Parts: sequence; C-alpha cells; structure tokens
Amino acid sequence: MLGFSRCLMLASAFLWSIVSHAEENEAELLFDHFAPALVQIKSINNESNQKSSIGTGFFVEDSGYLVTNYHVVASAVQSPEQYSLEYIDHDEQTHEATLIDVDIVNDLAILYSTQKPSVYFSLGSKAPAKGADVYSLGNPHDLGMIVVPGTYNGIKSKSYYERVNLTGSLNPGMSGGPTVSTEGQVIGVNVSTAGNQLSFLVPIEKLTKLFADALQLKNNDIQNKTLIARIQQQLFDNQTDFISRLHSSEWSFHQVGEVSIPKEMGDIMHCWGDSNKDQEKTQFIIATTNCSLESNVYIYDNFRTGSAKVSFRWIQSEKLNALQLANVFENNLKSSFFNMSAGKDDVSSYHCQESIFANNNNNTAKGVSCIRAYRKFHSLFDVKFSTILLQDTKQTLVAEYALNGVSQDMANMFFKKFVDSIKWN
Amino acid sequence: MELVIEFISRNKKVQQFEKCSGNPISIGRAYNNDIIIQDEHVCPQHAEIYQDESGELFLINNDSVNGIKDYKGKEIASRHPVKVGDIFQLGKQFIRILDTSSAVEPTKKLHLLESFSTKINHWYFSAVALLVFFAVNTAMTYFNTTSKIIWSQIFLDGFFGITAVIFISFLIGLFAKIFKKEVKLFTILNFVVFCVLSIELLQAIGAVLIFNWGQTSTLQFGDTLINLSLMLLFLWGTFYLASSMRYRTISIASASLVLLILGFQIISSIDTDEVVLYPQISPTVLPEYFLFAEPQSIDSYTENTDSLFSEAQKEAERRNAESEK
Repeated sequence: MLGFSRCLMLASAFLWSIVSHAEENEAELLFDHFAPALVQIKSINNESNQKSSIGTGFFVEDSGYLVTNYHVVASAVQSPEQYSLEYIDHDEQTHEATLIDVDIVNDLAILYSTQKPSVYFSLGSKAPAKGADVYSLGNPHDLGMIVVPGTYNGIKSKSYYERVNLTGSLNPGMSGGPTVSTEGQVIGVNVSTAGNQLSFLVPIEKLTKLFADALQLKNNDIQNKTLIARIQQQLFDNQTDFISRLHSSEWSFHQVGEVSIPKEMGDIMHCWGDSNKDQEKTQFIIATTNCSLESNVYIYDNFRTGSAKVSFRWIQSEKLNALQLANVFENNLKSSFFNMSAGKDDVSSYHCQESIFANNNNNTAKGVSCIRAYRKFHSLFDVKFSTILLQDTKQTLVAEYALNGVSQDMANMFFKKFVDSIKWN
Repeated sequence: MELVIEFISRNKKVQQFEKCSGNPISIGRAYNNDIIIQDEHVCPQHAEIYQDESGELFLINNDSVNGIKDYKGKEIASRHPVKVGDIFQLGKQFIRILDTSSAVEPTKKLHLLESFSTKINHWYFSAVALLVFFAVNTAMTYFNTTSKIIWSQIFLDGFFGITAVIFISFLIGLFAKIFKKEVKLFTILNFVVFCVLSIELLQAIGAVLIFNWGQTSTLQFGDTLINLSLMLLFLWGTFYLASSMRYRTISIASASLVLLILGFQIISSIDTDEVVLYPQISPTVLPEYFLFAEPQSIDSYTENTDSLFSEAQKEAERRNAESEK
C-alpha cells in the first residue's frame, strides 16, 4: 500500500516536470519569436522633454500599425500640442508614432509608424477555452520586456464594461501589451490588475473591430479635432447604451419599513447593503442600499466618466420627535452627494435647484437636482439627483443617483423611471 | 451784583454751576472764597471778579502762580474786562461767567424713545426677557439634537447663551459709562435679547420658506435686506444707549457702518470665476406640517431641470471661448 502511493507520487512528479518544462519551452519560443514585434510606448511632454507615461505596444501588421491602451496615450490624445508619442523598438531605437484611432470605452488605441516590422502579431479569431494557458507580454515598470504565463478565465461576469479575466500577474507598464495563446495569436490586450493574480484584458473582438475601423481611416494625418469628435461619439453611444439598459431592465423591489425600494437594477448594477442597527445608543435606524456600475471610463488625469451610482437610505426612529428627525433627514439629504471625479478644466460648475414635487404614485417628495456640463465633450453632463419622501414624520426614504457623462434625454428618461420607483407601501 | 459761574469741560459742556452775589466775588482754592475750585494748579486766592461804578465787570489776577488764560489759551492782563458769557481757564478748570439774566437752552421735549427706554429699565422686564431667551434657546437645542438627550448639557447651552447676552450688555454699558451717558443696564439687556430673538425668528421663517420653495434669488435678496436692516437696528440702538450723540448723528454713523460692512461683503464675494467641483446647495428639510407649497408635477420638475442643462452647457461654452482667447 505504502509502495503504491510512493509510486503515484513519483509518477506525478515526473509528469509535472515534463509539463512545466514544456511550458517554459513554449514561453521561451514565443518570446524569442515575437520580441521584435514588441515596443515600449512613451508619451513625451514637449516642455520638459521627459516621458509622462509609458506602456507596451505591439505591431499587428507589416504596414506599421501599433496597438496599445488608450490610457497609455491619453495625454497625447487630449493635449496634442503638449505631448507627442514615440516608441522604442527591440533594437533600442527610438521612432515617432502617430495616432490613428482610439476606442476610449474599451481602452484601446491604434498608432502608426513609418517603420515596417519584420515580425508582427496576428489577431485571434475566437476566444480560447476557459482554463487555457496564455502568455502576457510587456515591459513592467520600465524593467525590460518579459513574458508572464497565465490562465484564460473567460469574460468577467455581471460587468457592463467587458473584460477578460486573466489569472496571472500584470504590472504597470505592461498596459497595452498583448496576451497570446499557445499558438501565438493575440487573444486580448493587457489593461489592468486587481492584484493577487487577478488581471484583466480587453477582449480581442474589441480590437478586431477598432482595427477594421482604423483601416477605413485612410488619411494618416488625422486631425485631433476629429479624434475628439470620435471620442465624444463613443462616449455618447456608450452612455446611451448603458442608460437604456438600466432603463429597460427589470427592477425587482423589496420592502424596507413602509417603503419599497429596488433590490436589483438589472444585471449590470451591483448592490450592497448595510445598516447602523448594531451601533450603540443610536436614536434612529438607517438601512442603506448602494448600487453602482463596477467600473468607469478613463478620459485623462482624474477625469472619468461612464459610471452610475444609486443609493437608497431608509431612516426610521421611534425615539426622536418630528423636528429632531427632520434634522437627521436633512443631514442625509445634504451629505448624500456622490463625489464624481473631474478636474476644474474638464467641467462647468454645478447648477442646482430644489423643489417639492409629487410622483405618479402621488407621493410628495423634495427633490434636489444638480447638473454640470463637460467642456470638451458637447452635450454630455454629470447629473446628480437626490430626493426625500415627505408625508411621514417617523420615517422616510432618501434616494439618490449620480450619472456620469450622460445626455439630457437619457438623464430625463432615467429620472422618470427612478422617481416613479420610489413609493410608500 | 449777582453772577452765575459755570464749570465747563473743554468742549463747553456744563458740568456744574454756582450762583453767588457780592462785590468783589473771590475765586480760589481756599475755603474762604465765594467760588471754590478743587484744582491743585489754582492758587488759594487766585482771582476776583469786580464791578466798578459804571457797572463794568473786571477779572483781577491776584499774582497767581499759573495766571488766567482765555478760552484760546492766551494769558490775560492782571485786570481784564469781562463780558457776560466769557470763558476763562484757571489752572486746569474752565469757567464761564454769566449773570442771572443770561439765556438758557430752549426746553427739549421728552422724546418718546427716551421715555420708553426709561420705562423698560427695570429688572423684572429683563428677567422676563432672559427667561424667554433661555426657553427659546433650550427648545432650539433640544429640537436640533439627534443623539440621546442629556438635559444638563442642553441647560448648560442655554446658560452660555444668557452669559453671552449679559456680557454684551455690560460691554455696551461700559461704553455708555465712557461716553458719559446714563447707563440703563436693564434697557440694554432687553434690547440685546430683542435683537438676538429677532434674528432667530427670521432664520426660522427663512427655513420654512426654503423648505417649501427652495433657495430662490428673491429669497436670497430678501434675506440680505432683512439682515442689513437688523444690523442697522442693532447699531442704532447700541449708539443710542451708549453715547450722547444726536439722533441724526446716530443715524448717519450706523448707516455708514452698515454700508461699510455691505461693501466688505461685496468685495469678499467677488468671484474668481473658478469652477466649483461640488454642488453649492444646502437643502432644508422640515416636518410635513410646515409644507405649504403645492407639489410640482414630474413634468414641470423636468422642465425646470431642462433649464439647468442649458445653463450648464452655456457656462461650459463660455469657459471654452474664454480659454481659447
């Protein structure tokens, strides 16, 4: 019996060594073959002549098209007069690169170089099976090109912005590099990491589509104005799509106290809950539900868009009188504004109003609306709305939402569904 | 002869007077004089007022150490002719020489305000005022507390309020003392309590209005106007209670102070036109029984937000145009 188990152990150790040896070999071969197709992308500040961001890029055709992440070249896209792009090839030579097209929502960019590569990557046509071995290539922290083995784990579930789950270690600087299958075909573009071997890739379909679009744009000297206009259109389409999905999805309700609030808002919003009931000496109960879109769209610096957050707070007290509780209500209505990231050059100030209204359930409420406009992207707004149900002096519901980078029509459409979803039971 | 000697201040305010008869009338620090001046710079037998046969008055200097000066500070001769109403300085003291037929100031009518401020200058009015003030403040603290009620703390807050009011009143009283005005401490106390309660009442009314109709520009304008009027009232009252300025002077002084404060406010509120990244709104919530406004329909609420969209868009375009310049 003892001898058998020992045999098994030995056999498995032998098998493992063969497999891992094969893996090493494969990675080595892949890296050796594709190294000339990998470059380091730099965004150079024209004033200081220093790099302001770095990332990895790769050639996808012999005609000189390079792929990287949008966030690697964001500064050059948004301020072309301040930043220029260059790349360092396999032979440590520096060359210029020009922007052709970007997909801001999926964090992709296509650049063009007059240098023709000897080796280039080909784009995979279909996703590998879950559990398949893949290799991520890139230049982490400016340390030189490396290869990282990982496992393909399918598309991230319950997420509005599609990403591939990669079990493997991506690090800053590898952004924009390719992840390839064992056959050497690109199956995704390195984009971000959540630590502990949990990394994300842009799915290959997104790149295939953008690349096809980019080939249509024959003129390489693409004007920045039109690139900004294309980004504006991408943001507009994206927000139209996510608000429509939020609006058309079924919201399931549940009862909290005397009010009914949404429990789930379709499949793209993730909801979390909490309450203060375990706190000592509290004079009132607050039960909170917060729902949000898991990620957002990076534009540049601290300017992000494309997110949605919703919050419901049911507040009730038997101990406080009406005037005292009104203070609690007021503080909740005031403190409730979500923080939305944008710089002073990106947006206008908020324009706000507050007034008493009645929704279609005939519930009287106070509403506070605050709206600011994007400066660079016409007709896109950040919208905040918070409301508090009146009519009961012992309890209330504070409900609010913040939508990033939406059009007026979409904001109004969402507003109508939202206010009618709030009601006393 | 019969004369009236007024002891006056440098700015001709009468502090005290004496009526005396005889010829001559002696003036000095010694107790055997007709007019005694308590001033160490005055000689025991300093001067005399003498009337000759023709009825002319003369001021005689008895070789005094510090001499006699006229109102302008000029040394006078040892025998100086005197007219009724003349002012002289002996030592540090100014005196005015009058006779019994000299005219006095016309009678002032007792002002309504003067009699009112005297009427309310009683401890029991102040006691009632402080009691009301204490009750209002305690109630406000009670209704603003959202944690567990600790009555001793709430009462302590009330007492702090009373201490503050009394302190301010004493300060005004002190000014009254400095400016040589009769100190009506209870009147001052009543006045301060009245002002503070008015501010609190107006704030409460403002909260109800904001709860119902939101922070409109009309409301903001009204708020500023009322605050300025209250400030004017407070300053006017303080000047009145603490100085002996005339009503016209008080009005001019308090109005210019209010205008000055308004000026500072305007200067400090001049906008740098920077983008503010957080909403500048602070909504008010009250219990439903303070709700008087007719609720808007969803459609009219949306119509109002539509104007917010266009305002924000306009601002963004304006900023873009400015940065392109």
